[in-house]
Amino acid sequence: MWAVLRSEWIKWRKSPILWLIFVSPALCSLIGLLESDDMSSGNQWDQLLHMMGVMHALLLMPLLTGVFAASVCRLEHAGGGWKQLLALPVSRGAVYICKFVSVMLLLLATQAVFLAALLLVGMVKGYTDPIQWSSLLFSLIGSWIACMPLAALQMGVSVAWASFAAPLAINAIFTLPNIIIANSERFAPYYPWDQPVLVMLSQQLDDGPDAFHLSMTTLYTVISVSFILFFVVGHMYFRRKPI
Amino acid sequence: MKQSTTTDWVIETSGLTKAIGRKALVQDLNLRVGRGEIYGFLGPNGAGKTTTIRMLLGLIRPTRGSVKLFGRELKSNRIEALRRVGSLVEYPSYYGHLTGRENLEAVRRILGVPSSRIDEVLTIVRLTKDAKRPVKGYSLGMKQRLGIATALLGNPELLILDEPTNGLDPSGILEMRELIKSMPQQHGITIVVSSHLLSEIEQMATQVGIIAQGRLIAQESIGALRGRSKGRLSLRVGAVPQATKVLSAIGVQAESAAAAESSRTGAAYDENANRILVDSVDDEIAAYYVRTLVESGIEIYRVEEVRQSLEDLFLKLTDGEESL
Amino acid sequence: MMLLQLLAVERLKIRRKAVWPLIAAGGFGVVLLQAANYALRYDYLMKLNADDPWGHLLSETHFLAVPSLIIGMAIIASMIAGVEHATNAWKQTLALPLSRLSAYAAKFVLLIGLMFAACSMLAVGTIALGLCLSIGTDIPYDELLRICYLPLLAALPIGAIQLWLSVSLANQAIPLTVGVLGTVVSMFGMALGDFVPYKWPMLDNQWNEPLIPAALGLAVGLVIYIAGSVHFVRKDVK
Repeated sequence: MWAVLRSEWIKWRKSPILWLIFVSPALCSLIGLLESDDMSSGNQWDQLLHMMGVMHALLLMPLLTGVFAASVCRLEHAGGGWKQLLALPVSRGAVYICKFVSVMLLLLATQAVFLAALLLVGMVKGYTDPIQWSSLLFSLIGSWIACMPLAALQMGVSVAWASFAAPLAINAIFTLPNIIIANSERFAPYYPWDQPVLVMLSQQLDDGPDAFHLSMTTLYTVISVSFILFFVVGHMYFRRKPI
Repeated sequence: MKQSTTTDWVIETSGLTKAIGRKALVQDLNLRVGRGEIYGFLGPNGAGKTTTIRMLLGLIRPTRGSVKLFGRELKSNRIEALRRVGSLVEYPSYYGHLTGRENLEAVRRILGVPSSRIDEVLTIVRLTKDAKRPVKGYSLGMKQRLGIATALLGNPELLILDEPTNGLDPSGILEMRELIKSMPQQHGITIVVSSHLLSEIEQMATQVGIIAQGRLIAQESIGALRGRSKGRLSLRVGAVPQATKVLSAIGVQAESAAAAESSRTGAAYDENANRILVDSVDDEIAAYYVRTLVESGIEIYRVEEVRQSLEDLFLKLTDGEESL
Repeated sequence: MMLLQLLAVERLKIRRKAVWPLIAAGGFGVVLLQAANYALRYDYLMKLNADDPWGHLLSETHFLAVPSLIIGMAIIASMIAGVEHATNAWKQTLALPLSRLSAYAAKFVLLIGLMFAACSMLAVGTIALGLCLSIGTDIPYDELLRICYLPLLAALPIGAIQLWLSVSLANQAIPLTVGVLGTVVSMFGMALGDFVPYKWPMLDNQWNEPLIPAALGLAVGLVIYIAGSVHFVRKDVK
C-alpha cells in the first residue's frame, strides 16, 4: 500500500494539477482582501473565515474534489497506465484506496494553504482579535472530512469514464445548484456537494437565525453513511472492471 | 534456473473462454507453455491474442475456464503470480509528463526492486541516454523499448509481450528479436510473444500456438510445424489417371495437383491439369519413380520440387484469413 | 458552402458524445433548479417579490444561468476539441484539403450554436415555469430576451478563450480547470472591475446598461477568436 502511494507521488510531483492547491486560497484571499469588514460583532477571524469560506467550501472545494479525482484517473487513462499498473503485483483494492487517498491528500494540502492564506489576509488587515484555533481548525478539518463522500463518488465516476470532461461536467452540473440547495434545511445535508460548506460554516450558523441552521447529528450521520456507501460501491466496481 | 516442483508448465490454461454477450472472443483455449521456451502466439489480427493475454494477466475475467501460472491458479494467487511476470500489452503504457527514468521509478516503487535495477534495464533496452527526457517526446520505438524495460524491471521469470515489434523499424525489429532470443539463454526467462507475422515468430520461437477466430488450432514445437510443411515432388505427366495407377501399384500415394488445388481454393488451374504430387523423397527413389513411369509408357515432361512454405501452412490452418 | 459542410462534419463527430443531453441539461436544468427553488420556498419567495414576480424570477434565473453558461462553454469546447485530441485525429483532419481557418471557424460556430440552443431552451423553459407558477401572463419579453441571450454575447470572449485553450493543449485538464475557475470568479464577479470579461455575463456595470457588456463581449470575443485562429493556422500539428 505504502509502495503504491509512493509510486503515485512520482506521477504527481511534476503534474501541473499540483498547482491547483493554491488557486482556491488565492481567489478567496482576494475576496477576503477586497471585502470590507463588518465591524458590528463577533471575532474578526470568524468573520474572515465566513467571507473566504463561503466561496471556498460552497464552490471551489466540491469543484476541486472533482478535478483532483478526474486527474488521478486521467494519468492512467491517458497513457494506458491502468493495464500496466494492474498487471503489477498489487491488489486492485489497494490501487483504488491509494488513488482515493491521493485525492484526499491534495484536498488536505489545499486546506493547509487556505489556512495560511487566511492568516496572511488577517495579518495584512491588522486583526487584533485572538485567533480561535479550535473553531478555525474544526471548520477546516471538518469541511475536509465532509468532502469524503463526494471524493468517493467522483472517484467512481472518474474510474468508469475514460474521458476527463465527462466526470468534470457532471460534477460542475451538480455543484452549481449548491447555492440554492444550501438554503434548504431539509435537503442540504443529503446533498454531497453541499456538505463541505455546511460543516465549514456550521459554527457561525448554529447560533444565528439563519436558513443554514440544521441538525448537525443528521449531517454527520449522512456524511459517514454516504461515504461508506459510495466508497464500497466504487471499490467493488473497480475490482471487477475489465481493463 | 531453479526447477519448479509442482509442474513443468509455466502457463497452463484449460478451457479458457471469454465471451461478450453471445459472441465468443476466445474459446476453449488450452495453452501449455514450458519453462525456458519462447512461445510464439500467432494469429491474424482480431483472432483473440490480446484478449487471451489480458486474461493471462488477470486484467479481465474469463467467462469460463482457468489460468494457471507457475502451476497455481491465477484467480487465487494473482499478486503472487504477477510478482514473477513482466508484461507489455498491445501498445506501451506510459506517463507522458514524466521522464523515462521517472516512469520506471513509478513502477519500481511498487515492485520494490533496488534502484540500480533501473540502470540495468535502461542499458538492456539502450535508453540510458534518453532517460532524462519526458516520454511524450519519445518515438514509438523508444516507447516500445521503455515498455520492455518496464516489463523487465522486476526480474520476471515469465515475460509476456503482446506484438512487441509493432511500429518498429527494421533495425528495431531485429534488435527486439535479438533481445528476446537472448533472454532465455542469459536469464532463464520464459517468454510468450504474440504476433500476427509468421516470419517473426518463425525466427525466434521455440514453440508455436496458432489462434484463429478465438480457437487454438495448432500448438507444437517450431520443428514439428516445419515438418508439417515439408516439400512435395511434382511431376508433369502425359496421362494423370494412368500415372496415379502405376505409382499406386508400387505403393506410392499420388495425388492429382488439380484436385489438391481445387480442394484448397475451389478452383482448378490449367497449369495443374496434368500434374501429380507425391511426398518428397531422396534422389534415388525419385529416379525409381520416374523410371517406373517411363517404362509404363507414360510421358514425363517435368519433375520439380514444390515447397509448401510455413506461410501456406498457416494460411491453410487459419482458413485463409486476411491480414497476415 | 465550405463552412456549412464542415459544420455538418463537426456535428457528425460529436454524435453519441452526449453533447445534446448536456446542452439540454444546461438549458432546462437551470429552469428545473429554479422550479425546485420556488417549490421549496414558494411562500417566502412570493411574499418577498409580490410587486414584481416575473422580474424576480428572471433575475434569479439570470444569476443561475451565467455560471451554467460559462462552465457549459468550457465543457463543450473541450468536447469539440477533445474528439480530435483523444484519437490524434488532428493530423487527419488538417491533412484534408481545407483551410485551417475554416476548420477553426467550424468549431467556433458549432460551440456558439450549441450554446445558443441552450439559451433558447432556457427562454422557452422560463416562460413555461412562469406560467406554471401562475405569476401572470404579462410576460416581460424584453427582459426575458435580455437575460437569455445577452449573457451569451457578453460571454463570447470566454468561449473564444476556452476553444483556444482546448484546441491548443492536448491535456484537457487545463482548459477545463480554467473554465471551472472562471465560473466561480463570475459568480463572485460583483467585486471585480467593469473591464474584467468574467464580470460581463452578469450584465452588471456602473452605467446600468446591459448592452454595454454585451457589445464589449462581442467585440473582444471576436478579437480573441481571430487571435486564436491565427495561432491555430501557424501551429504545428502533432
